Formats: sequence, C-alpha cells, structure tokens
Amino acid sequence: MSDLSLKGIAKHFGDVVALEHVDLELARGEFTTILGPSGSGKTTMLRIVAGFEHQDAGQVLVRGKDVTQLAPAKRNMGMVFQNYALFPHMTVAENVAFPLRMRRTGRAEIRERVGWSLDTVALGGYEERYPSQLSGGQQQRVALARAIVFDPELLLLDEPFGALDRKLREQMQLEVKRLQRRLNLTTLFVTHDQEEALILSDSIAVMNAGRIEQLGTPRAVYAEPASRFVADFIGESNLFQGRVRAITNGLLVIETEAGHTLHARARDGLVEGHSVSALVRPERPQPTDGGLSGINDFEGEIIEAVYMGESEKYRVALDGGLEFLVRWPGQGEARTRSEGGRLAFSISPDDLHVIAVDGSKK
Amino acid sequence: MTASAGLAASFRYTFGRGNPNRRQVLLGLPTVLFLLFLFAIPVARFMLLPIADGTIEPYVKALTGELFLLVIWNTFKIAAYVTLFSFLLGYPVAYFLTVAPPVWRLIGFFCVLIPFWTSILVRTYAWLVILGRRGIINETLLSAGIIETPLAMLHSTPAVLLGMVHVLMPFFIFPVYSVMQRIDTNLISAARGLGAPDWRVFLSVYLPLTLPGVLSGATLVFILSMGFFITPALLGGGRVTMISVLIEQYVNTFLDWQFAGALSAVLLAVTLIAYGLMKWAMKGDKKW
Amino acid sequence: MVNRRRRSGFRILLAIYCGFVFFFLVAPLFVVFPISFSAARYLTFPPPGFSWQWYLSYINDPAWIQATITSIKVALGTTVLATLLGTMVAFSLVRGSYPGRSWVDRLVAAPIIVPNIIIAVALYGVFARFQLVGAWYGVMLGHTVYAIPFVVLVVGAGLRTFDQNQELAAMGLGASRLEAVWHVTLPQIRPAIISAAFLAFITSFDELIIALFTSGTNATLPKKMFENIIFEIDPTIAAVSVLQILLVGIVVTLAARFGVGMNPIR
Repeated sequence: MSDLSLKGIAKHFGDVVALEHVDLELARGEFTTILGPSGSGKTTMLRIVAGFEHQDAGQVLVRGKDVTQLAPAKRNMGMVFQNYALFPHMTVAENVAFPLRMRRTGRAEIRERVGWSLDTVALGGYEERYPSQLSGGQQQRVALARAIVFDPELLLLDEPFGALDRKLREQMQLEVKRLQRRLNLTTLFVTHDQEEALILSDSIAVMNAGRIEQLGTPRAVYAEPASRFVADFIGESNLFQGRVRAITNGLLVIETEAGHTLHARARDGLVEGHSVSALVRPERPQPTDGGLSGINDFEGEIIEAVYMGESEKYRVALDGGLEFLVRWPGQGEARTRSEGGRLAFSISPDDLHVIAVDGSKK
Repeated sequence: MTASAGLAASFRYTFGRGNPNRRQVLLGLPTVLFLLFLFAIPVARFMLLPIADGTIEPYVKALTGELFLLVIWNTFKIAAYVTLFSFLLGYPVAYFLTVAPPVWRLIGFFCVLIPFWTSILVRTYAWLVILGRRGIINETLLSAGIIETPLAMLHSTPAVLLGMVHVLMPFFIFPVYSVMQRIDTNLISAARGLGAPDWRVFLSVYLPLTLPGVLSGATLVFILSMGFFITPALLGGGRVTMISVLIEQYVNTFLDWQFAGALSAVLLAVTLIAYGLMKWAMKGDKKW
Repeated sequence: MVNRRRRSGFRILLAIYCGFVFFFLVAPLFVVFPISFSAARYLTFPPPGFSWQWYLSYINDPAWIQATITSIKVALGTTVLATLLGTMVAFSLVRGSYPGRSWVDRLVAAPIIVPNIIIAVALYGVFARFQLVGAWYGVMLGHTVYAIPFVVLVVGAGLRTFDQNQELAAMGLGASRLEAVWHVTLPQIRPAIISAAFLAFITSFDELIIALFTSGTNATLPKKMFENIIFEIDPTIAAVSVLQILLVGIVVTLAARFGVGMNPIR
C-alpha cells in the first residue's frame, strides 16, 4: 500500500486552473520530488496534501485512509517551510516541542523526543538558543527536527534550500537525504531547482501548467524526457525539429527543418510522417577531428567557448544555420579549442532521444 | 424582487461557507456593526436632520447667512494660519531632529513628545495662566514698569492661534520627520557636488523630496484645526468663533439641532475636501 | 572653506531657532508645576511660597475624586473594548480580501477624520433617546468609537510584519487554528497590542468633547477641569494637571517598556 496517494486532484482559483486531474503514488520510504517552474501548480499540490488548501475534486489518501476532510492538524505530516517558519519567540527546544505539546504529549516524553530529534540533526546543546541566534543552516536543522519529532507519516519539504548559499545548500541536501534514508521517511519535496531534484529524488514528477508531464526516476527524466517541456526544463539540451522520413534497419531517419538528416534508434509508436523533436544532451556528441563516422556527422564554427573548470562548453553555429551546444570534460591546454575555430563531431543514434510532438502521438 | 434576491445571494456568498474569506468577514463584523450604529448612522442622521422635515432651508441658511459665512471664513482662516505657522515652526524642528547629534536629538524629542502626551486642557490652562489679565506676562511687565494697565491678550485671535499651534505642531513634525529621515543624503551631496548653491539645493532637491511629509502633516493639522473646539472655546472666550464652537452653541444654548446639523455638514464637507485634495496630490506625487 | 563656515553659521542659526520653538513647546508645562505648589490663595506668578494646599483641596473635594474615578472607569472600559474590537477588525483588514474591504477600511479610519464635535453631538442625540446620557458606559462607547482607529493603526502595523506562514506551520504541526493564533500569532504581536491598549487608555482619559456632551452630571476629569477653567481659575486645576501629566508619563513609560514604544515618529 502506498503511503500517500493522490487520486484525480483538481483545483482552480476563479478561472485559473491550478491543477487538473493529478495522480501520484508514494511508496513507504520513497523520496519523490515535484519539480516545475513557478505557476506550474506544484505549491498548490503541496498545500492540498498538507490540508492548507482544499481541492475541488479528487482524494488524498494517507496509508489508505482518506484525509480529504481532515484539518491540517489531524493529518500527521511534518512540514518544512521555505523560510522555515520557526517561531521567533520560542527557543529551539520549545520550537521542536511544539508539535508534541499540541498533541498533549507527557512532559517526560517531550523531553526525550526533543533530545532525540535535536541529536538526529546534530544540534544537541542548542536547546536554549533562539532562532535569531542561529545560522541559516542551523535554522533549517531546527525546522527539520521540528518536522520529524512527532514521527509523522509523511515529510513535506517546500523549497527548503532556497535561502542557503551554494556550498551550504549542497551539504544540507546530502544531510537531508541521509536522514530521510535512515528514518525511512516517505517524503514529498517541492522545488523548481532541477539539479536539486536530480540529486535527491527516488522519483521526480515534472509539472507544467497544472499537470504532471512525466513521472520517473531522475535518470529517466534526464535521458528520456517524455515531452519537449521536460527536455527543456531539465538540464541543457539541443533540440532538432523534424519529421520521420523513413525507418530502416531499426533506425529512424529524420529530416530536420534546418535540412540535416539524423539517424536515431527506432521507438515504438513512431512511423513515417510523424513530426518529432530530437534531443541531444550537450555531453553526448563525440569529437571526430576530421575523420567521419558516416552517420550523424556535424561541423560548424565555434561562436562561444567557455572554460568551466571541470568542463568546457562550446556554442557552435552548424553549417546550415542551427546553433548547437557541446560540453566536454576539461582538456589539457593543447586540446582546447578557441572561438572562431572549426569543430566537428558525430552523435551516436543511441544518444538521440526522439520525442513525438503533440498531436501525432500514437 | 430580483434586486432583493441578488442581495440575498450576495449576502449568502459573503457569509456562507463558500467564501474563502468568511472567517475574515466574521472577524470584522462586530466592529463594523459597532461603528455603524454608534458612529456612521448617528453622524449621518444628525447631518440629515434638516431634510427629515422636508426642507433644505437650514443648509441654505448655513451657506448664505452673513454671520455664518463669516464664521466659516474665520474658521478657514484660522485653520490656514495654524497650518502655516506649524510649517514655519515645525519644518526646521523636524530637520533639526534629523541632523542633530544624538544628545540634542533626544532633548529635542522630549520637548516635542512631552507636550504631545499632555492633555490639551492642561496646556490650554497653562496659556490662560501665562496670558491672563493677572498672568505671568502682565505681572512681569507691570512690575517692571513697562506697562501701567494689564494688556488684554486673552480672548483674541492671536491667543487662539498660539494655543492651537502649540497643540497641533507635533502633528506636523511627525510625518515630516519620518520622511526626512528616509531621504538619501547622497542626493544632497550629489546636488552640492554638481555645484548648486545651498539655497538651490534646498529649494529644488530637499523641499520637493520632503513634500509628501509636508502635505500629509499640513492636511492633518488643517483638518484638526477646522474642527477644533477646546482652545477656541477657552482662549477665544466667546469672541473668536469657530464652526465647532457655533455648533456647540446651537445644540446647547439655542437647542436648534437642525441648524447644528447643517453646520456640521458644512464642516465635514470642508474637512473631506481637504482630505480628498491631499490624497489626490499624494497620488500625483507617486508618479515619479 | 568659506562654504563650511557658512554652513556652520547656518547650523547655529538653526539650533537657536529650534531652541525657541522647543521653549515655546515646553514652557506652559513649566508654568503649571510651580503654580500647583503655590502658597497663595489665588493665581500669581511666581508663587510666593511652597504649599501642598491645592493637592489637598483636590483630594478633599468629592467632586474631583468622583470625576477621577469616572474617568478611570471609562478609560479602562474603553481600553478593553477598543483593543478587542480594533484587534479583530485589524486581523480582518490585513488578512481578508473580500468585497467591500476598502469600505470597512474607510469606516474604521473615519472617526479620526470626522471632527470630534460632530461625533459628540451625534452620539448625544442617540444617547438622549435611549437615556444613556450621564451613564459612564455611554461615554465609554463614545470613546471606543474614537479609539478604534488608533488601535487598528498600531495592531495592523504589527500584524503586517508577521509572517502568516508561521500560523500555517503551527497548524501543520498539530495546532488547531485557535491554538495557532494563541501560541504563535498573539505572542508575536503582543507588543503592538499592548501599545494599542495604552494608546486607547490615554485617548479616552484625555478626551473632552465627547465626554462634555454625553457624560451629563456624571462628569469625567477633563469635563470637570473644563468647567472649572470656565468658571474660576483656581490653582487646584494646576495640581490636577500635574497629577494627570504624571499619570500619562507613567502610562507612556510602561508602554515604552512593554509595547512597541509610544513614540509616534517610529
């Protein structure tokens, strides 16, 4: 049985549709991320799960029990807010004890649970501090301790890393992930940061305009996006627009609008005449240095070269007029290419991911 | 029929479970009812009293009777003078409070705040003691032999002005100070750096920047002056008549409520016009 | 160099000018204090000697004491009622977005803009009909009308700086809505509410015009003072004034200690 299942959730504000028929299942201990741009409905979804917002249609089930009619307080979910929402007039210990006090837990047990919870987030000894006396990372730990202290059935995280600087953010992400594993917490995480989603999640639900566009593992969402939106939103991408001209030897032959011919691994459901987008991630092309591979060969002029330490990034104007992005691991000085130079590469048919364009699916 | 049905529907929406703001509506309701029954309706009824008899004669009288026009004009003049003096005395003080060193600033604040928190009656009483026939000034001048008979300073327009400026100036200082405090001093330095002489800097940079504070302070002082009662009643001693004193007389002495209502309507109209003008000017100000 | 000298000259001029204004502002108060301790039988300045007689005459006059008690009763009642009603409507105004909200806003602010004399006479008319003239709670109702806008101003400002997510967080963590407001919201806006309450108290305690019309024979302290000033200028008033200044001073100090400060400039 799933720990959380959403069935056909719909919500609109006036004329604006925030969610239309969303389904989602979370298994025990699973870390699921709802990823999407602002306005995609991800926050509304979290608020509906938490009970702060009421859906127009559909059900929210927690461990098989319908909680739709329950007030937020009765749902037994631990939530970490965007800016933590720590209570500034309470000490760290009082903050963490708050959910237990609201549950009329006994004094002795409160002390014990608070101690355990603060130890878990490595904040033992900070009990008597006030939130304003803590650093950003420490505040977040308090928020986390407060969310897990009452042994919730579900942990909800609402963009909790946004306020931290890069280094601290990466550290906290890993800490949260370890904690979630150790306590086997079923977790629903909302973010607009794709990198964060890839690092943390067991599965990612990519949302757009009130719908889940794709639900899958980070690997699937990155390598095999189900739609152009997903391909664009996650990672950097090169997208060719085109049409399937033929299928030969298990390869799709695609003619692009810019006049290139591409060969890609055939996929079920695609036949001749379909309009498609072909996706190539920037790290996929292989340099050919003059020698041609005979298939998916490209050449062009480097119009921008960026050195990024661990990698190098080139913007290439392909012969035929299309711009292409390539990213390769950082090379020695000798191999470095400069702006204005030529660049030749080929793409393996396996590295081309073909997406059917809306309207010609199936 | 349909209108009442529509009203019922909107009533049901406003208070019904479907309204996401139902809690807020219910929370505000007691206060709204309280103010409706103990403020809005009584005030409206009072000012509409003349109409209850099907006549607008009292309004006409209030707006055409020579005596009443004189009182209205007099009130307006006093309010304008009080506003002007509050500006002349209060603006430099507000500036002083912004730039003075901390100790002086503290002393300055005390000098503004202590009278502000003191009852108007106490302050007016003090002026009576100072300006009275046997008051401090007269006694001092008499004993110094400068004058031989006491000066009649009370019961005059200047006395009323003095008392009112004393009471109302803080209301001008506060908004102006809060605006001055927020002014970016770099702007002033920049203007100086560009070679503008100090008086130009003041006239074309500083004064315009403080204008929102000056406007709201001046409006506040003007509105309060228009309706002022205690100071003119005590320091004016019946010789300086302002609208509010006249209203009191018509209620308590002549028992003519209708005319008092008409005068109140005039007073409120002038007040609202001043308030509206200020709002309008402020809106224009925000454009840039 | 020249410029700097001219500027410091300006500063001296400014300081002198402001010194005069400050003197003008505080001078009346320095007159009241000596007179209240005057040994003379009538009003003279400077007082010929020191005496407590005017304070004794205040304490020994039942009318003054009665007026003081009435004023305190009215002011306390106003404090409770105005703080309650004002805080409720402040919540409604800051958090609600219902049709007519701007009208509620205007209604709540109106008692400051409408001249007191109009409110006073209008209420006098209503109270006369219901025979409320002369009842202390009638005056209290009138003062509450006048004090509500101040409460809303102060509490509303406090409420606007409060992060409403905290209330949601509390509810998500197991608090009912009431518990969330009680344990999380109210403690954080408490300084604003305390300031508002003190403000309501002073507003009522000092108010004359509404009391003048509606308190009838049951005069409040300001009304009693007003009548005394009109009929006889007797230094008892100076003694009462000093006591009133002290009381307001205490209230303002308390408010500054426990509230967000009574300095209207901040």
